[in-house]
Amino acid sequence: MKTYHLFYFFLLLTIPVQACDLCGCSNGGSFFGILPQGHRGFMGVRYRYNSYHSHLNSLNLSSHEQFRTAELWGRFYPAKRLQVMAFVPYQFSRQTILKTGETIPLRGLSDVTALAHYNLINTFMDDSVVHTVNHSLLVGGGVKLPTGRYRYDENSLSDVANPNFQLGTGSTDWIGNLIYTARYKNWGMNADVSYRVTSTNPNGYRFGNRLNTSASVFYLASMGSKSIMPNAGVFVEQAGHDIRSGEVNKQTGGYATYLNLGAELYLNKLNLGVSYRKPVSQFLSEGELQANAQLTTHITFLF
Amino acid sequence: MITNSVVRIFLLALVTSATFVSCKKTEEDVIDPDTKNSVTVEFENRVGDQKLILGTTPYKNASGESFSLTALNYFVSNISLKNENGTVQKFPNQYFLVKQTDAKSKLITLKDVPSGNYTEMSFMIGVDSLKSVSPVTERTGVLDPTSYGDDGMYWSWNSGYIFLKIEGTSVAVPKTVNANQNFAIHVGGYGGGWNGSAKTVNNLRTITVPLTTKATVRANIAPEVHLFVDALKIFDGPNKLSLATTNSVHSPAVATPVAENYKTMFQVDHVHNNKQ
Repeated sequence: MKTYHLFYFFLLLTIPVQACDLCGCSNGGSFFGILPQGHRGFMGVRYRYNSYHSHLNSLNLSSHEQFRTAELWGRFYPAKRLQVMAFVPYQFSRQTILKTGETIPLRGLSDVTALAHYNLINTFMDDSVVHTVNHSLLVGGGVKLPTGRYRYDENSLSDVANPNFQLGTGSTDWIGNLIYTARYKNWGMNADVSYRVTSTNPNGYRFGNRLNTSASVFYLASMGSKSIMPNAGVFVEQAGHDIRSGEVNKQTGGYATYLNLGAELYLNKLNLGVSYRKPVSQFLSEGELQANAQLTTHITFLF
Repeated sequence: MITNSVVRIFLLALVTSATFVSCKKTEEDVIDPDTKNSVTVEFENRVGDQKLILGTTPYKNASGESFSLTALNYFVSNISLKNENGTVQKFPNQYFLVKQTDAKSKLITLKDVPSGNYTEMSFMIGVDSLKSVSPVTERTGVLDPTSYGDDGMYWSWNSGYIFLKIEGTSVAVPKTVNANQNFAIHVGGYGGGWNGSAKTVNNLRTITVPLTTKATVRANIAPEVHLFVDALKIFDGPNKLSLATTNSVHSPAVATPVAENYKTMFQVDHVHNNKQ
């Protein structure tokens, strides 16, 4: 163990005091979108594409990061009012240096998240009264585990020496969230708030705490056993500054607001979904980072 | 009822956070020349488009010679900043030794810079003649000739400080020159004479680089100028230097082509003007 500690110590020594760690951070993870409704468990695969332009003002470092994530996700009900969710993402991403055209791949298991929610309010099942408007409020939280690789070699030409372009964050983070849904006839609204409290990873790096908020409206059109649910909404992400070896890196964190358009298709036990997010207002990494449009699709089996 | 109030608080929080992040900052920018702040200059050494990593990492020069580097050191002095009105702010009597082995040495902090929009930076590679001939008691810190240990930056036998040195290994270096095929290129020569001997050539070079993004010093903004230093230019500058022939430079007289080359190796990559 002692040798490991020494190793980290030397690793820290070789890291420059000040480095430009700009890069699209894909580590947000565990967002929900519009969850398949009903008191049913599910399992499926989500595919997410998002990209960033980094170091916008740099002659040599300007880059384009493309994050592609395939994610297994599932929901289970161990008890009536308790839902447990798990997210196992696998990334196949890459960074392209715009000046040279050089691309650096990033592939592997990312950070796994597990969440549990208690259904605090649910007028669908709380009483037998027929409500005009039905509410459901889920309160819960969970943990994001450091299952993705986060170590990089400062002395390698092929590694991206940037904590933001790794498969994981290296830290065990705690997440708290609320998911609220209201339904009136075929119309509904969904809102969720998720706050992530980070911790320092063994490299001495700590990502800023992160707040994700989203709100959307949807309409459910049914045709027999099939139904389609178009939806639209707003998604906001905010993150604090990262801390490297005790020093705050101001060129990190920020906010981005996205408009969201999507549709869910339900075919018996099959649920297909697509969602497109376009940034409308953002200020990330002191304006040195630009988030581009994102696309999420999923195929999920209800049981 | 509890249901409703929980829902209301929740929605309120949602709306508040959405409003908060969509607010635009519209502050008026006034330059108050009485306020000061610091400017940090980062020297990031590179080899072409690659990171500079000392040791065995292979690089290639324009002569097609493969090489690796074991040392890159240089003195930076006589820094000045020019603002958009043409006023030059000098930083006299400040000497810095940038060493690839020392991450901290690659960050130079200029203190008490008056608020302004700076568009150009100049600096000298080396130690000017006045300082070079000043009494040893005035040459302290990185200029202390006894402070270098095995990593010498001073020619005690003739011509003062080594302004820049680059060392490494290359198969292009003939084994008849160095059995281990090491090369060492040391540049110095401030144009003076040592103990009354003949004057050397003057290999001091001043580099002027434009700040493509202005460095906007304010009471609450301490800009960071990020320089890229391309060591490959030491071989592939205006003069094409081959390691087969230029592999052992230890006197001012033969170092001038090297100084002409490294004069071209500095580039401002970007400037950060972050509010504190």
